This record gives sequence, structure tokens and C-alpha cells, in this order.
Amino acid sequence: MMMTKHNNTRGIKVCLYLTVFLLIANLGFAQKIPARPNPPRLVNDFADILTEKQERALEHKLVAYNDSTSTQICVVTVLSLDGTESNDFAQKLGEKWGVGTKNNNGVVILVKPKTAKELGDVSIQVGYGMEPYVTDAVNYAIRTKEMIPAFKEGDYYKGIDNAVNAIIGLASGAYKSDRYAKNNDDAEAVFGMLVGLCFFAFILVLIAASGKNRNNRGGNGSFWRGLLWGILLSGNGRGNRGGGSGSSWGSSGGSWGGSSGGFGGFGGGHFGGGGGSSKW
Amino acid sequence: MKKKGIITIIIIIVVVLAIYAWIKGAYNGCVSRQESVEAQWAQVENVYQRRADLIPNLVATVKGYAAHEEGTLTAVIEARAKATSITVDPSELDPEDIAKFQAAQDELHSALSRLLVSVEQYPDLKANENFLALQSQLEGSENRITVERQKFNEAARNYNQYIRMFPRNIIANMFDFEKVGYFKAQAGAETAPKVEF
Repeated sequence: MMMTKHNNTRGIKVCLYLTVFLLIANLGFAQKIPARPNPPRLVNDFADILTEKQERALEHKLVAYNDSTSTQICVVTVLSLDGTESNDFAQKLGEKWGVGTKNNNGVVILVKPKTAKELGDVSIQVGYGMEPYVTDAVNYAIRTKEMIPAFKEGDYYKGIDNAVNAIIGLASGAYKSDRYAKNNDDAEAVFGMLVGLCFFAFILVLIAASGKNRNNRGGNGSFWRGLLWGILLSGNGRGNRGGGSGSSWGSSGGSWGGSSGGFGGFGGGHFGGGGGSSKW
Repeated sequence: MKKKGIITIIIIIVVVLAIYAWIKGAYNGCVSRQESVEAQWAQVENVYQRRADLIPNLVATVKGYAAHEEGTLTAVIEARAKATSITVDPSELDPEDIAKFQAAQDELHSALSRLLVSVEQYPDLKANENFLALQSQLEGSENRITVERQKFNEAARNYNQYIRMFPRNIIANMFDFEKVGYFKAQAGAETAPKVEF
């Protein structure tokens, strides 16, 4: 009897905590740029204006394009811009998620659907590396000629798909997938770690030797031992650094385990505010 | 006795090396941050220049359609001339110079905004493809200006904070690393001219 009562109050408490947590999480979500999706996706339909099937089709197309050219086109739909300008929102989102690679060849297509109260809003922001290919004037033409007519008919998929096709056409041949270069970097990191390990082993041997010497020569050995420990620590740090650069590739590329055909992950592209927005 | 002397020498060498390493770290840290501030300033100038380069074309296009807007057009041309005449020494980035630069550029911004509002009365012009393209480029330029200014402020804050932290400020003072200025957010200056289609 006592037990069940105790359990009940505990259950209520957990429910309360969960509600509060979800509320806070929701508030955070509405007020800020959405967090980077995990696992990473190129199509992020937060506003739920695309069907499951359409999302998959778009994602498939964009992942294939990313695989062959390394150019990342990220589609995001949101219900609220939280009072900010859509250009500002899209630029910050691109920067925060790191859409594009180190060539800054990312594009963010942001769509806020039209509601009964508010106008629809679409912004296409291009990374620094895409500015020569998707110029502002072309960007404007894509928005007004390819997207908004379809959006006015309520066909969000068609509008977004048109824009994606146009950008794919414009940027074809601009960048090549640099998997080869990436592998080179990985190899370098592994080499750095090996050197670190060899150094580590070498120092261990030296310490063992100095330990023997200490027995023979007495007090002087402890000073040398301290010095060697110092070197060992710094050597250890170097080894870690080698490993660190390797793991950073793992997180940004993510393509280590991505052989299944999914999207490998965003690559830290930067955005300079190129592009524009239109309302309908 | 001899042993003691050797240990003293080693300690002195270690201390000297430590001081050297610290000065080197602090100085190089200042230099790399200063470099990124200067690079970001160049980026700011680039995007302002980009906007200035659009204006002659814009003025020429508008003139053909809106002959009555002589006053507004002259204001834009004058503001452009003034804005492009003010330059900031990128190795100094003096707060006062930046304020002057910003004032002139903001004046150009508001002259352009007025022009874009006044052309609303000319439906022919608003249907002109060339004008629409120019307008979209202008919008893109304003976006870029906002972004690069924010990035500059970030880099400047990073550098200013770095050189003013104790004990690094001693090194910064010794080698004349000076605080750089910021762009100040002004009412209405942060948003691009509003154009509804």
C-alpha cells in the first residue's frame, strides 16, 4: 500500500519534470536557430509541408549531388522566423550548421510557408564559394520564377525541387568531391599518431634506464627522472594532438561510417550574406 | 659545490626558456588575432565597395524612367562620392575613423532607401528586368554588409579582449598593439532596404 503510493507520487514528479523540460526545450527551439540535426540531414522539414515521400526524394537527390560534387544544398522549412529577417535567419543557420565544405560551397534554402496571418517567406543564402555561380540576380530569378509560382499553387515540393534543380545546374562542375584529399589528411593524422607512439615508447625505455641508474648513482637520478617525466608529458600532448586532428575529421566528415549511402555530415562552410529573400 | 652550480645554471636556463616561450606565445597570439581583424576589415571594405559599384548602373537605369527624381538621384550620387572618399587605415582601425566611415556609409544607405521608396511610383521601372536585377544585387549587397560587419565586430572583440587581458597586456603595450574600433548598431541601419514583391 505504502509502496504503490510512493510510486505514484514519483510517477507524477517524473511527469512534471518531463513537462517542464519539454516546455523549456520547446521555448529554446522557438527562440533560436534550430540545432544541427543529428544524424545530419540535408532536408529538414520542421514546418512539415512536405510528405515523407517527397522528403526522401529530395534528400536522395541532394545527397547524390553532395557525393559527386561536395556541394551541399540544405533545405530547411520553419513555421516561424521568430521576428528575424529570413536572410538573417538563413545565413546564421548556414553558419551554425556549417553547410558546405572548406570551399564554402553550401547553399541554404529556407522556406516559411504562408499562413492565414503571415506572408510566406523564402530565402536562398549561398556560401562564399557559391557566390560566383549563384549570383544575386540569378538567385532572384530562381525565387520569383521557379519557386513562388509553385508556392502560390500550394505545391511546396515543386517549388523547392525547381530551385534545387536550377542550383544544381548552375553549380555543376564548380567543385569536385575531395574525398581523395580527405583521405590524405587522415593518413597524415595517423602518421602523426604513430610518430607520437614511437616517441612515447622511446621515453619509456629512457625512464626505465634512468631508474636503473638511480640505484647506482643516488640522488642525482631523481632530477633527471623529473626532467624525463616532463618530456614524456609534452610528448604525450603531441601524440594527442595528432589523434585530435584525426577525430575532428571523423566528426565533420562523418563519412567514415557513411558508406551506406546516407548524408555524411556538414563540413563547416561559411556564409557571407550573399543571396536574398522574397515574400508571397 | 660543483653540482649545485650546474643545477643553478639549469634552473636559470629553464626560467629563461619559460619566459621566452610565454612572450613568444603572447606576441604571436596578438599578431594572429590582429591579422584576422585586418582580413575581416578588408572583407568589410569589399562589400561596401560592391554596393558602391552598383550605384552608377542603378542611377542610369532609374534616370531613364523617373526623370522627376533628380533630387533623390543627386543625393545618392553625392552620398556615394562622400562614402568612397573616406577610407580607414587597416593597420590602425582607429575607433574614430571607423565611426566616420560608418556615418558616411550609413548616409549612402539611407539615400538609397529613399530612392527605392520613391521609385515605387513608376510601374514601368518596376517591371524593368535590368532594374529588378540591380535591386536584387543591392539587396544581396546590404545582406553582405550586415554579415561582414557582424563578423568584423566579432574579430575585433576577440582581439581587443586578448590584448587587454593581464598579464598579456604588458606584451601588447610593449609592442604597441592597440585597441581597434567597432561598428555600432544604429536604428534602422541593420536592416536592408525593405522591398516587397
